[in-house]
Amino acid sequence: MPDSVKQSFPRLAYGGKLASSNVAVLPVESITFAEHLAVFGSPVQYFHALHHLKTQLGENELHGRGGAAFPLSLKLAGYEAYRGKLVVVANGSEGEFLSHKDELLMVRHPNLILDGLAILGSALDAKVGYVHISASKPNPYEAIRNALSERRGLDPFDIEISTTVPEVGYIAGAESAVISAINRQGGRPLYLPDRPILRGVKKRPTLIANVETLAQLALLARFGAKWFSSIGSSGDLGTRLLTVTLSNGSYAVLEVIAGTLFSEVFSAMGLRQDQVSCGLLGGYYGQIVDAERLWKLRASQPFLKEAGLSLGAGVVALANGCPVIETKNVLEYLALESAGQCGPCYFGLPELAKSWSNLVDGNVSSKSLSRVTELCDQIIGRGACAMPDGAVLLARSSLSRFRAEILAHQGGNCSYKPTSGRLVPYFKTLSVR
Amino acid sequence: MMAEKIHIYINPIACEGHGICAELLPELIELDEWGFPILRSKEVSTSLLGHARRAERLCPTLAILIK
Repeated sequence: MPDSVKQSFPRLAYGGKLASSNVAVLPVESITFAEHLAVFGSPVQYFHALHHLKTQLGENELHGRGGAAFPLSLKLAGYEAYRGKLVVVANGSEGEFLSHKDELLMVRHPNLILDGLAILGSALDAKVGYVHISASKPNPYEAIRNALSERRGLDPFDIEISTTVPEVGYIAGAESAVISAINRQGGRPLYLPDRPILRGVKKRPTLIANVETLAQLALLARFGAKWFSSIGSSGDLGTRLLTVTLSNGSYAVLEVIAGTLFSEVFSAMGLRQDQVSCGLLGGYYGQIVDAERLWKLRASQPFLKEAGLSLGAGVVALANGCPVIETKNVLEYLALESAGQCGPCYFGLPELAKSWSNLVDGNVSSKSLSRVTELCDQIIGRGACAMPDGAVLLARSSLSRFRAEILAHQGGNCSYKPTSGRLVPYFKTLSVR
Repeated sequence: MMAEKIHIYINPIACEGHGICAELLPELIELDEWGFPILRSKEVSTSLLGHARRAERLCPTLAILIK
């Protein structure tokens, strides 16, 4: 294993099955600390090495893998002024029901994530770190806890485990919700209008990075910028983890070379285009795209941005039913996921879902259609977190992309077969404010 | 010396939709269909500053900040 770990691909999925030349399956067995050291070597020489880190990141950018794709070098630069006072957090809360890549990565590579947190934190003289994990996922918790106990004394600052507040659900991964959970303020998003990062955990400046970003950083710091950028596509280097879910509830976590065609990803999974009608690209902050188009897209953030789309946190949820009904399902789910804090979200999202449901039921008059638009215009930009904006984005995009499919619902002419769709969990119940 | 621009902020978590702000400052604030404020502009002109400060002071949940 040690001889070839510096191979260009697979990286995080090292030791996993190569499904095609650009796609590998992330193995599920945990790598112990001893195995980790044998394979990757000790991270210690990269601790307190701000200059080294800046050089590596400066030459070849690593974009965040939590959904926002923010360049890590800019994040690093933004926090330099707070050196010595920082709290660093590895965000593994993965509130999105459809995403599993962070969960599996924490199980497979707890030590790479901790290496990344220690490398990034020590570069800025952080005094304390957290790994923030979903309270409803026992396996990552176990893996990180074991890794922390096996590597005790190695890390340059104390690292603790914190967990999300179970009731919070989808939005638990938002940065301000993470801060709120660690501070024991309920774990829901906070209203932090200017510079939220400066009044974070225990009121200290707080740098939050996704767990995959940190694992990628741990490899980049070790093997260097040239190695990191030897694969990938322009503006999106290296590899990224994807969660691909199917309508029967099964899923795969794959490492793909950035820029790989989705047709290659899906065919590596044994999927044909005619088995799928559409897919939710980018998860619940994403858009629904028909299968024909999806098959031609690439797993690359800049490529998708150009097309007005986003990869988000790497979720592609495939469905075989009507995209108009799938849109309704997701809008209803998001309405239930509102934390109930902001009026426009708490009242607006159920109303938006209702207006969409009206279309599904065949009421597709111009008045019904403009009701959706009117609600979108009222809701956008008015939550403390970005969740209501995600619902608006989905409604607006499906409204323009699937106009013909919507109109077909008049008189019950929808041509799609009914689906048992798993784009949303079905165990949620509405909570009362 | 250049005058700093004054802005109005609404804390959407604190806001409970009493709607008093829209009565006191209709030039900048309208209400959505559930009674929550929508800002027409984030910038507060000098002529409206007095009214804006009054809305800030009288909001029952102290959800308005003029800065």
